[in-house]
Amino acid sequence: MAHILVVDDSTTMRQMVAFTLTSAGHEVVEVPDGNQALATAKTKKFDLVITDVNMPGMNGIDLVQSLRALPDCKFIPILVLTTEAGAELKQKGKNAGATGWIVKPFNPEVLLETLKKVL
Amino acid sequence: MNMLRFKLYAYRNRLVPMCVLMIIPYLVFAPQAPWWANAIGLPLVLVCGVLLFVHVLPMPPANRRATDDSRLSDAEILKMRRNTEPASQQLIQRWAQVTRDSKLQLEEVDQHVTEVMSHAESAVVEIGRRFVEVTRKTRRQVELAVGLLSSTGGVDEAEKKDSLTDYIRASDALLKSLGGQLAALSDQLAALSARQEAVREESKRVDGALDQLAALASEIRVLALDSGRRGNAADNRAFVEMTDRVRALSLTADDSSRAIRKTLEDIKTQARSTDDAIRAIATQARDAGRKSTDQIDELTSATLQKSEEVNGALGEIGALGERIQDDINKIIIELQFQDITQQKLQKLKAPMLSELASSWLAMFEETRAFNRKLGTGAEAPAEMTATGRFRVSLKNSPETPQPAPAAASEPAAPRRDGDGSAKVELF
Repeated sequence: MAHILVVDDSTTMRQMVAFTLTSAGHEVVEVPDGNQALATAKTKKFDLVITDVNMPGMNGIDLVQSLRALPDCKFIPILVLTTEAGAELKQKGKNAGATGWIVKPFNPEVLLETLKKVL
Repeated sequence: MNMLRFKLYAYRNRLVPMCVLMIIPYLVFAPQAPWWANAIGLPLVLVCGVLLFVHVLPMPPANRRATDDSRLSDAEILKMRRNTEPASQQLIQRWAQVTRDSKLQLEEVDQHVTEVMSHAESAVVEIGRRFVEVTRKTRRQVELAVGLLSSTGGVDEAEKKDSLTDYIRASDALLKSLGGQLAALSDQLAALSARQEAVREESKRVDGALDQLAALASEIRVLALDSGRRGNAADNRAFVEMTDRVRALSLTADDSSRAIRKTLEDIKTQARSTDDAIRAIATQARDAGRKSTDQIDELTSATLQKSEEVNGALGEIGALGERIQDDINKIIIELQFQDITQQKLQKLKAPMLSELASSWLAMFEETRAFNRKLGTGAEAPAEMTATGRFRVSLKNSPETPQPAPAAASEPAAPRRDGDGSAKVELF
């Protein structure tokens, strides 16, 4: 069982991701934007972070960069789950320190397989 | 003046060739003519050209077009074309009316879109919440059902709990063991009965020995009586007393033998009844053991068969659970499509619809101001220019409606491949 932080401004998407992960036995914390995610990551340790890109306040790429600056999040896997599929943005995510890139809509089985690979 | 402007616009492509044609004859003769003739001839050529353009060239065609207002007659349209100012005013008034109506419609559309999105979002959230609850409960049901017949608990063997099948098998083994024990008990009882028989035989032998003892005692008694008579005849008093004591002892031994015989008879009677009871119990235990073993076999067989049926049904439930899981995955994907579409609509609505509404508002204000200028005959010339063929538009309007640019962060259109397997990339 892993402690996972899910960051997405869409309630539905957060629910879907959280449902998939909790069904597989993981513990999930949901936050709606990058700033809250950063604040949560400073107070609690997570084994994995899944974040959207387009969010109000701090976007996903900036969040990845900020998380990598935290000592506790330096080496944890961070997956980007977004509708964006452009190579340029993917490269930005990779440069920021993202571990993987998943394009929405995600298949729950594929998401869980990816989690097994990165955890 | 308006007529001249209209003609200048209509013949703008022909003005240069016309001037060239008029100047060529003058240029041919000008070098040979004296200076005063040139001084008079050049202005005359220009005046003639203007007069020719204004009075001789015909008005361009002003037929009715599809874009003209249907409420106007052909004559009115022709008149308005010749006099562009009233036509422009009317067009601008119509444009103002249209922009006003469009602005109101856009505001209404914007409000409706906002409401629809709000309702859609709350509906999707509620559906998602309910869906999560339902699937969680369904999964729990399946787990409980499957857990009935399958081992549960930890990975460690010690932590695992036995399944229903295991319990049935254990119960069967216990009952069989009980049947076996009953059979063993029956055998032991039979052995006990045999031992009772041996005791009875021993009693018979003791009985025979007692008969012999009784015969000996009787013979000793007869011998003592005979010896006593002889001793009395010989007047041997001491010998007579001794023979009397021997006879008394013989009688006592005879009584004891009888008492022992009687005791032996009682023992034999009790042993016989005990033996009968043991035989009956052994027979009953054997019968009960055999019968219970048969019944247990039958019951266990039926129970195991039912258990297998339940196991099969639960296997089917498990397969159904897997199919339900697939359906759940598909529903999750569809809900994501719904969410992505909603987000796309939200992101398109914000820049496009809002910008369109503000553009319409600016155009409305600009048009109204321009209409006011035309209506009051302001000193500034109407900044109206003809563009295209006989069209009227605002010149250099800062708020000319332009197609709204695509939002920079516009989400990619959701692809309905429904798979998602090829969309994961690990760095």
